[in-house]
Amino acid sequence: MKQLLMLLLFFWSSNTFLSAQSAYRAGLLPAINVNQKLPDQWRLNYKAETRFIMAEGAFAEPAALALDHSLIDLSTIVSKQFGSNKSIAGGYLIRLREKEVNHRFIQQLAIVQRYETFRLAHRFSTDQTFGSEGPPEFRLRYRISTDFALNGQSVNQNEFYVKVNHEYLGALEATEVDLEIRLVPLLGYYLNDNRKIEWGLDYRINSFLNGPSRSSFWLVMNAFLVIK
Amino acid sequence: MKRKVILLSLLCSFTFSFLSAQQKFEKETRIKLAQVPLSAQQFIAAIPFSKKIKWYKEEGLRTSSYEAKTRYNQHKYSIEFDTLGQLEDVEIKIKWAAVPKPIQTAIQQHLMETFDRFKYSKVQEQLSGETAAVLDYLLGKGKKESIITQYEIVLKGKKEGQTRWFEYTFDAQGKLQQQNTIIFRNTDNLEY
Repeated sequence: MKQLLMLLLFFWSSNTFLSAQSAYRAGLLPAINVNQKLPDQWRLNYKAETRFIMAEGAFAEPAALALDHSLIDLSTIVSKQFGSNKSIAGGYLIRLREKEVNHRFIQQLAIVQRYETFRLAHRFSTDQTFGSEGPPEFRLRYRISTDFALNGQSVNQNEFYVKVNHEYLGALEATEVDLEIRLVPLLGYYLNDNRKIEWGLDYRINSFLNGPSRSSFWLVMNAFLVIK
Repeated sequence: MKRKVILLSLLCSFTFSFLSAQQKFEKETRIKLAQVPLSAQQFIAAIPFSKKIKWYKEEGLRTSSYEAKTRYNQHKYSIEFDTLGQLEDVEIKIKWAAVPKPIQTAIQQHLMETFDRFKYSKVQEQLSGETAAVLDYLLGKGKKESIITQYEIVLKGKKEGQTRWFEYTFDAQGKLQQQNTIIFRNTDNLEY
């Protein structure tokens, strides 16, 4: 109940940022994550994520529907687990747009706490993005995530689960500072420890510090695979 | 447009092949009281539990069981029955300090020999034996000597530079009965 109230409060506060001039984007955001276990608690994560924009504009204007392929992100992250629930990671992401290529370097620390009926993860990360079209961007991110079973006390094979991500991203580009807030409620299906799939909505809001906000609504589909 | 169609088709076909894989079966499901064998219902009804009782069915490839979970006298109770409703055991979550001192010493000694460092996460008193004797004990009528008492301990232990989670079972003399390494679900979907 408390979590539900927090979610409602978040949506209400997000709403106060929105006005007629506020811009939006909506589309699809499918991603595939392939994780590879290495000796001595090392792991590799390969991720491919692509965006299809289906509508964009201002909230006040009528929406024009289309399907435009916007970009592809390809990343590789190497991580090392330490202790029983912490991992540090670093990696590289390449973003391919039609006429632009961006390079992003990523560093992260993740802590996963396990409780009887749910897991809670904290992810602290930084990244630096360099591209030919603009100044470099530096970001500082914090994400809190939880997942829990829809039936029973723990997520078992062939069962659905709920996952919620909530993230704050501070960004610095030249002299401009921005804050982005994300809320991602997802429904997951756990086939086994090597295969999971998640669907849901990825809501993002930014630019509200310096002017009309920009919102993004993505229909998400994430697949997680483990290879030996 | 062609590229979009190809990308979307790839995505759909991947989803179907991903979901159609056959896997081994192990499941815990919340169930209603009416789905529980009568003798298990009667056992629970004989104890004056005041809090809500949640029932679960655990199904594996070879075995199944029923489990009632509740709180009683400020402790978490987990009572497990077989498919016929016969009592298997009663697990009561307790604090480490509530374990009798001589047993504490024996357990501690074993763990200190095994690990460089360890930390208790969960301690449960596990009661089993004759159903009537366990029931009498839970009702405060019977003696502890007439039932089998074991201690199930979940802990985080570090040895040879690696930290892992373990589940230990010790008997009422603090002698090791069973030891399992706990393998958790991977955390990829929470980290990336």
